[in-house]
Amino acid sequence: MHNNGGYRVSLYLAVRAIRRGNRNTLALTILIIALVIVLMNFLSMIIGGVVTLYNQQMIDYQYGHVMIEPRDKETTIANANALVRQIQRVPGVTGVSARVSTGTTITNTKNGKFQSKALTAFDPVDEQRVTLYHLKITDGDYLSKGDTDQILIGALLAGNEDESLDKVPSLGGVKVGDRVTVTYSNGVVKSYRVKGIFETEGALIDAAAFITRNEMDSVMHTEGTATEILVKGASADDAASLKYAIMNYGVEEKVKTWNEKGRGILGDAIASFSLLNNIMTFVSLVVASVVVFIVTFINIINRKKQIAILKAIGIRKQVIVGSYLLQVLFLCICGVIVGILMLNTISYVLTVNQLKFPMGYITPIINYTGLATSTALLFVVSVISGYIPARQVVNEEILDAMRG
Amino acid sequence: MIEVTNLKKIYLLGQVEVAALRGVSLTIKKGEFVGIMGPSGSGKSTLLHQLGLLDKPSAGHILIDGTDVSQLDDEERTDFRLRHLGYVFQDYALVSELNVMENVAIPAIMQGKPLPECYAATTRVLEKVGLGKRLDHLVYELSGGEQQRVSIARALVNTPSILFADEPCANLDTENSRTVLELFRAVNRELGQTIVMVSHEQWHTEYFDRIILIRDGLLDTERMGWEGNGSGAAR
Repeated sequence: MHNNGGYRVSLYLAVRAIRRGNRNTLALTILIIALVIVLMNFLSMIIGGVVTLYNQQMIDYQYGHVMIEPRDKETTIANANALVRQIQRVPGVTGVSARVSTGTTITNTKNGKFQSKALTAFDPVDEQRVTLYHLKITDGDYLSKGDTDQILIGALLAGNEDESLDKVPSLGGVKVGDRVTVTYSNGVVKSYRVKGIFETEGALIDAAAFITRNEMDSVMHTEGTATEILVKGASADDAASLKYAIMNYGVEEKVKTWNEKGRGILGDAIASFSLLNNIMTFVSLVVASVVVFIVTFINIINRKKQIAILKAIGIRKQVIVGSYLLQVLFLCICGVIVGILMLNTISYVLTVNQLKFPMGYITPIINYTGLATSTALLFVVSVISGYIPARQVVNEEILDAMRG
Repeated sequence: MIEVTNLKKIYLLGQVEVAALRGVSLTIKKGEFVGIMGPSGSGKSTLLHQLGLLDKPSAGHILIDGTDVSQLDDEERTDFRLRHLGYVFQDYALVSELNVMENVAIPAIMQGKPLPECYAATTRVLEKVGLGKRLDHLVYELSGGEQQRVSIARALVNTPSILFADEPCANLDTENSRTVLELFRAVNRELGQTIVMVSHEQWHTEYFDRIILIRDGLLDTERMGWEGNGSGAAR
């Protein structure tokens, strides 16, 4: 009894209704669906940018790809030199830097302002193979292996003479060539010349200070030890396999990837962002479903009599409902395309005019998996919202509908 | 051929039962042009709706070309309407987003025929109703008479066994009404098309082969169309 003529008629009616229907209503509905797509994906685009920037900063300045820490109940890695040599032999390792950190008070000799800071020491040559501080010197020079009375200071820690310009507590405007006094936890007090100022845009990173291992070892007697060893591999994605390769080489210290190290810090913020994003997605979907419902409902109520006539001349209910669903699908497809274009335009505008976050300028990153999910959800709610009024009207008795 | 036996239709208006048809039996032969007439509220449109499968009778049987259509379910009735019946309504009932050609082609496309074949049949029938040069026009570009002729073409495109027309001239002036009735007579004579038409206009009777008079939901009398206003022979 049935044939494929029905589906052709659905398409036939839908195409012509779209082509010859009200252009303004069509454009407005597409715009609303497009805005829904933007709303559903905007926050995750910003979160994506924040996460990517934060991850990159963790890798480039704080942890490398893999970080080795002292065993439980120990504060330092005792056999650091041997361990570094061992790790350097692991396939895929491109750089290893053994760092020592200690609590200090750094004082600006010029104005007496001081900050309590963990001062970190590294071998400048080894560090270059792992982090990017050497590329972020905004004034002066990077440390050299033999430097003993020189210090590298982050731009935020150096600060400004006008305190109101500072974003974090600072030394009140330290410049290259100025001298700072470092008071170590063992009581040693030593004066250093500021050799360079670095600026990475990351708030936590730019509040740090560095000296050479030679200097730290001579003051704190930390030769052959480390508080952390940073390891760089081929890529961030291979960090997990690099971690297991290092562990397989018999390293008994705690070995963590950059991701494992950073998860706790940004995790809560990302979870909160995700909750907000989910709420926005839900609200957007409700808006989309209501809009599609109203548009379909008004559309179909105005054609109640016409639908009754179509049924009377032998057009099956499913065919008529199908034609309305095809129109809804068309609106959704156009809305999604326009929405993606708008999202990309916003992304481009925010890439050119970057948003400043505490960890630096972020480049928005569209999460295409999330976009696909929100698009699929939008299609589902739209089809349901279109189906309900269409089915309701189509199910009316022919004569009742014809009488209006 | 239509055979109707003891057809009843009872509507419920709140708690009150209203009998629109109270046991109508009749036969309409293939190729007849039959007019159903009667006073307002007599049940003539109700009878047409039952015969045309637009409504379900409360009791009785309708046989169309040997099929007991009272036994068909909703889907089967829809399919039967598509393949065997054609309709012309009082207010044309065309799809506003479709042009003349597309409006007429819809029932043919629904049958699953190839599109070129549908359009060929559509063009033929539109030429027959005198609208061969208005194929691409949209509904709002046509006069009432032209819209009704499109509606007739749509009813004829699938070459139905029976064409039902429910007061097709009610919204037309005399000239356009005459055009529509001439068209009905032409397809009836030339193609042997069975036509069942409801009308309340006395002057339409000259076009009918036979008139079925309905009064208070019952068959009143039948007479031949040429008998005009004179008293008809009882069945």
